[in-house]
Amino acid sequence: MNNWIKNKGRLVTRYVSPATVALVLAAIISGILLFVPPIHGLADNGDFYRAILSNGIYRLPSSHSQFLDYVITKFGIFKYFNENNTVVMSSQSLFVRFALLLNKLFYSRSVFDLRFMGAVYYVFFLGAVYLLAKSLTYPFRKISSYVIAVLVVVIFADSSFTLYFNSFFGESEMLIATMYAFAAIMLLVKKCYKRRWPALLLFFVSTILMITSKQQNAPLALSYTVIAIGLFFLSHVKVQKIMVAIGIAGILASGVLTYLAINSDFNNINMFQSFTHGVLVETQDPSKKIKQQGLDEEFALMRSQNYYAKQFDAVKPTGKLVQKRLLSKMNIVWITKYYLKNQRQFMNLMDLAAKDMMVTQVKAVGDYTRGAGHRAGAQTKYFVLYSSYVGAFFPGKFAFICLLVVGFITVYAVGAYVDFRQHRYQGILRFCLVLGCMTVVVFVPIISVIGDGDADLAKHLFMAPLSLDLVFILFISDILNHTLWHTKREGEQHD
Amino acid sequence: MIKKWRWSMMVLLGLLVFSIITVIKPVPVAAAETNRVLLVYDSKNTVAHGEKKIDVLQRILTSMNLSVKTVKASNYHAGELNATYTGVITMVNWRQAGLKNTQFETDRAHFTGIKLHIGDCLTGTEAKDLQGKIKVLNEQQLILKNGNDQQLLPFSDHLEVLDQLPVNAIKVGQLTSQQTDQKTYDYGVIVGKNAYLPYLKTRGLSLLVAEQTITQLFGQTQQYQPLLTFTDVSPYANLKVLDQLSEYCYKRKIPFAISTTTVADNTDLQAFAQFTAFLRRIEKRNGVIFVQAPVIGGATQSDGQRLSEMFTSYLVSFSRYQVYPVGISAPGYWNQDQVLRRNSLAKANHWLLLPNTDVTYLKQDNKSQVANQSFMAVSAASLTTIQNQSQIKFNVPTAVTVLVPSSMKKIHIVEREISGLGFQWFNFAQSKTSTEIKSGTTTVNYRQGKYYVNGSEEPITMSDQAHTKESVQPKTKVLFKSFFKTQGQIIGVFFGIVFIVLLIFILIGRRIYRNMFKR
Repeated sequence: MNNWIKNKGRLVTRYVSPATVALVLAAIISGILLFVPPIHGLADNGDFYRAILSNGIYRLPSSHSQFLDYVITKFGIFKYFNENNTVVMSSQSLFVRFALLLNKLFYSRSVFDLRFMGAVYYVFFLGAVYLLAKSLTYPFRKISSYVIAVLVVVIFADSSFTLYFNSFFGESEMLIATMYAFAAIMLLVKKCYKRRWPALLLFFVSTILMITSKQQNAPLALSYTVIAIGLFFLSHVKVQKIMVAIGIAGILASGVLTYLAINSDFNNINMFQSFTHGVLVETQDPSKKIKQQGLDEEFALMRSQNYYAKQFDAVKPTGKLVQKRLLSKMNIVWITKYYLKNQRQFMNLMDLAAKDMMVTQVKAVGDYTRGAGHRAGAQTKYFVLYSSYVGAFFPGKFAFICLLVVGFITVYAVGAYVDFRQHRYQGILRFCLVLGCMTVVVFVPIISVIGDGDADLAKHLFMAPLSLDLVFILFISDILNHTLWHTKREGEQHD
Repeated sequence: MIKKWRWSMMVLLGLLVFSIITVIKPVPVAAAETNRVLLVYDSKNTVAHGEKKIDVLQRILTSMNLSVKTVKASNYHAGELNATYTGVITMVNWRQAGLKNTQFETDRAHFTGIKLHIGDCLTGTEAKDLQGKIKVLNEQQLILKNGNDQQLLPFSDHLEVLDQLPVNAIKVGQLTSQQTDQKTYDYGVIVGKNAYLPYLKTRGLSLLVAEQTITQLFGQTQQYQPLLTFTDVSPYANLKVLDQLSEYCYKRKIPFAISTTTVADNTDLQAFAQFTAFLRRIEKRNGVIFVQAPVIGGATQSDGQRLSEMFTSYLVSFSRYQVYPVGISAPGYWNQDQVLRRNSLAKANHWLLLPNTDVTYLKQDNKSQVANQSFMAVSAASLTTIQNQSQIKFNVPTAVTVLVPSSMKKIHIVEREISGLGFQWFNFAQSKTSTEIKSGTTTVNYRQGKYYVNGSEEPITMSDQAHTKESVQPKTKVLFKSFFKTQGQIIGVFFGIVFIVLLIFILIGRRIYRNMFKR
């Protein structure tokens, strides 16, 4: 009996790789969530217009509210000249336009079905899952390899991530692009393919797409530059080093351009929310503190006020009064100076960020369509095992995150050192990857709090839990593959 | 038999003719002795700011204590103008489109109450009722005169005035041409229950003369002292400027009011104590406070309860710091919306209706209600171009509004503006009116300079300075706080030692490992 199981097992592992298992599982799990009626997705929190209007899609008139409560599946397509200017420059447009093209080819020229958006992301996502699973398990087909593949599915096909696909949020693209970039580096580490240039190209393209997908990602260009620096160790050929340098220049340029594309309106929104949801919160009475830094203390009454009021407010932040008396006096230097003076308040905010960090499911909007038999704003419980448990049990202390980051960096630094001594680039490349991801984990919460306070914190932190998850699965795979302290596999020769 | 048949046929025919006559000839609609007015307009014509003219007319009528139902002519249904209305006002904002609803015109023709037409397109029937002839003035710049007041009007390409009026016609204001042979036309014309205004402006002398015509038409002859009101006040305004302005008024014995927004949350902060300290100083300087409606963000008609709670919170938090509002101020459209009106304006018996800005309806019903007294806001700047301002008479309760400047630099301009107006300002403390705001379980009254909260008098005794003591929350004593703090430090030191020991072990282990191969 044992032999029979072993034989069958061998047969399966011969024809079905761990990456294929991950691909099939992710396809089934996400496919059911996104395409089997009643479909799931994320309702509009008011941000969709940025992605749809300039791309020729508009919200169809409805007697019901089209925000927050339910996922809207049908949108209109502009027939004539589209007078809407681009609200924000974003590479997300490429995906939206591709979905629109497919919709026009296979469905309708006047009505857009959200599932085409979901389908576009779904296909790219499956590719990312396949490459990630392959890069983490290669070249093994052991039971542990299949465990890693299943873990990849459990972590990354979690509904808290895949729900984004049936929406116009930019996070879908960020998830997929980051997975590709991470997988590309790991493919190079594991030497999965003979040719290096496709993986290199994949890394640079997906990194640039991720950075340009949202304005808030502009600072991540620095983190991904850290990762890309590892690529210099890949080859001693001068041409290849020049190519890597060009790629890094591309990443930095995309970061700078994305930052410059932030218009004054967005800057004002961010400054205002950073003040009302950051500077004014997590402290007993901020009145005197802001007065000490040159603002009228009455502005403390704006605590927790949103830039766009949910219901009513005393004044409109868009009015001349607030623009002149508050926003014109505020900038990133002012906020940084404030937090330097009030470090305890800043640490409280960082702990708040840490609490929110691993809660990746967007709680503010509903996941169901109207008529699916769920109350407004209801959240799905389908395949959210990983995000629910991590969200519940992850310690809500920023100090813990810092400790974790130091732990990961130390462990991979050892591997890098060992490989460096043995003239192997793999450990160094992997270390740079981990170091880059860890800078994302540490700096994204800091940037989010300084840039936008605790407003929309869970969404702004998106890249931090994603990066932590990627390093976490890498860590598990390295333990199971026995490659944690060095990347040299048994029987492998020196490079 | 034939004779009988003929008789019955004749009776039937007679009945038929009678019934046709009664159907064709409507019974005249008698106007009731109510305070309801129907306002029918052709179009908002936003290009020419027609919506602002509708707003200003609605506010005039509200300050005259007339409830107004506003209907767009194309939405008018036959019989809507009935005996329950005191009067009907026809407003034409877009001459080219005009007012095309024959059912309305028929009903209006048979309406026996007060009729007022504003704007072009006066029909033959209306002109006949006014017993005058329409004269069209093209391409002219006219001067409006009323008694000693006069104002140069902007250039007008088309204006319809009434000429050859009967002797008994009451004429209010005159339009004088600037040609060499100066011609004079009447602005407001009243003939019996019918009246005509060739145009309506939202500011200046034209507005005041229009008010005079309308009040005279509705038999209201009382005149009012204007209320000096500082607007654009909020906790975030330059309160030092407001403080200086209030001091300026106090020293010159000018009674005044302010219209201020406030916050419903964060009222436990020192900043709120600071804000209310400024407001208390205003109360002590013979100023009164109108609490202004908040700005509307993403609210829907289901948020009425929240709005009501906010007003309760305003009253309670203000009362804590001895700040007592005398009324509620809001843009005019708040009175045209069922949810906004019911959950804000309806709580007070004194209103201050400001011009519309950022119109956001929650449940528009276009059925304005009235208060005991409603002040119609007119900007001081719009009156400064009138010659002989001190002679200006106000025919409805009016709040002359002055924006609080954002910097000290402009304060002298505002002071000059106030002294230049030279009005005899309305003094709340000396008036016989009793104001009341009621929200939740709190009722605030103001009578002859004294404030009452839930019936008992509340003198303003708190100092002008912010009461920091009240805003500071008592520090909560956390049990074992020092224990956890010490424990945290011990753990920190422990981890530090462990880390160092581990590093030492790694180094020793590495040396042992290397030595193993060396041998």
